[in-house]
Amino acid sequence: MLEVYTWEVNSNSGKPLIFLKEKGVEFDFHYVDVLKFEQHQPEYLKLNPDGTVPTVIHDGKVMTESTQALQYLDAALPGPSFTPDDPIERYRMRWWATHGAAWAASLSVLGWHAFMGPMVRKMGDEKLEELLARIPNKQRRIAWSTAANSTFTEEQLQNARDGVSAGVQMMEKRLKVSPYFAGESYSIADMVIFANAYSLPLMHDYSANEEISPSFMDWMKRIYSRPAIAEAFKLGRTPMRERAEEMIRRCTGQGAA
Amino acid sequence: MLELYHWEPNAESLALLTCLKEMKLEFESHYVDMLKLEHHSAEYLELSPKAVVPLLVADGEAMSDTGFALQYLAEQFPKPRFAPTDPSAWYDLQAWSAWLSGMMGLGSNVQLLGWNYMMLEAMPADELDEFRARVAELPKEKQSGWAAVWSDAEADEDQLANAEQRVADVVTRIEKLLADSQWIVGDAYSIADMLAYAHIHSLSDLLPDIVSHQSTPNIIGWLERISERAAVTEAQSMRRSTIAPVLYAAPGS
Repeated sequence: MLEVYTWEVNSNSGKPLIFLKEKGVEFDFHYVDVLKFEQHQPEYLKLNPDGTVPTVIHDGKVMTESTQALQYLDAALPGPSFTPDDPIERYRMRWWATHGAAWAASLSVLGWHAFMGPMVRKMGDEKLEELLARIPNKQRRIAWSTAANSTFTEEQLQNARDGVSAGVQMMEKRLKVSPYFAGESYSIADMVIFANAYSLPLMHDYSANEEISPSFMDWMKRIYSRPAIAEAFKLGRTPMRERAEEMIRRCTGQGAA
Repeated sequence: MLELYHWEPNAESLALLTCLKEMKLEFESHYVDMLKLEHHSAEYLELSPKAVVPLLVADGEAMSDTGFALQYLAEQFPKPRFAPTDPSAWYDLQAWSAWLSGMMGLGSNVQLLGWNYMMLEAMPADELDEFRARVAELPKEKQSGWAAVWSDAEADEDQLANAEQRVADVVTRIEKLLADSQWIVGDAYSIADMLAYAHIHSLSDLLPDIVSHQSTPNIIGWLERISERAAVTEAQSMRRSTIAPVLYAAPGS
């Protein structure tokens, strides 16, 4: 019995969706609407007291650390393996899966400012405040409130853009040396980073483009061309899905950009 | 061929030293004196661009993430076994590793408190002056981690209280876990215990309100079980500095 409580193919939420489509394993998909703060509702908190997405449950084992959950699922489920055999490559896979997307904290600032903030504010101030007040952890409440109201200064936004650019350059450097993050083969590290990076060429092309990050763009195209990626994005219900499908068309050469 | 760049046997340096000793592995030990800021020397930055200590070098791969370096050792040298084999316990091990290590985990908060509450007082005044002068010479972006440390900096009470809260949260979690189990993961001593011990063993001195016989009897018993191990004694006997018992790794290192 495999159950996945998660949101879109985006950031941590996207990791189990991409992975399970790659693995070719059936699962029960429970859509948790982050834009309605469903992850902070009492019912969900019973499952995951931290109120984070995703939560993955396999045969009673409840997992809330998404990158580690993928490694568990890779070992526990049938299907192709996405973990290298060589211990050094495993080290690289874990390192990149954890530190290789650290820049996504910057991306999240920009995402809330431009995209998610306006979407959640559609519900109106009163409703928004009510939902924010329910967030159990004080620090997380402050962070969500800042994000939802998009009260970022121009300096914070510029720092965030610089953070994303630096992240892409770090990835570019790695992908100049090997085709995938762990080494020669596609692994969990690529899925984790892709779940965070998929929108960069479209939404943040100052950081990711053919001139300044050709190896990264080549990697991006290879991942976007994988059938499992298209399958995973089909689970989406927001405009995030459409922008990913636009990228799939560009990368697979189907239709004009 | 294994090499370990490490400082005093505390925090993550202690975790890797303990692991190498437990596994009886030969390794070349390179002592990096963090109080002399040797980790910011041009030579060291070549190895570790972010000035991270400890650093395990295995077959030419410089491993800066201690949790993953421990996992590498457990997988590369599986006998005797210091990590579980089944996926479920392996998940637990990895989740604990993430909560204990890294900038968001226990380690960095203990570090911050260690400097504020103990290091600065333990250091002789002239050594501290000398040290501060060295830090001031570092490039600006490398100094940010120190801002919260200096006693004359606008001591950010919020930041310290927040760090204490985070430490207390993880400690509570571990105390609860050890009520039903002898060890952090599964039913055997593992690299998760080595890592947890390295961060927690000094807390009864540093934060006696949080870790003590009264408030955390299970943790105290667990610490005693681990400190009796020969490998731990061996690792801890590698101390060099006179103020080693209260040494905490440098912020942002």
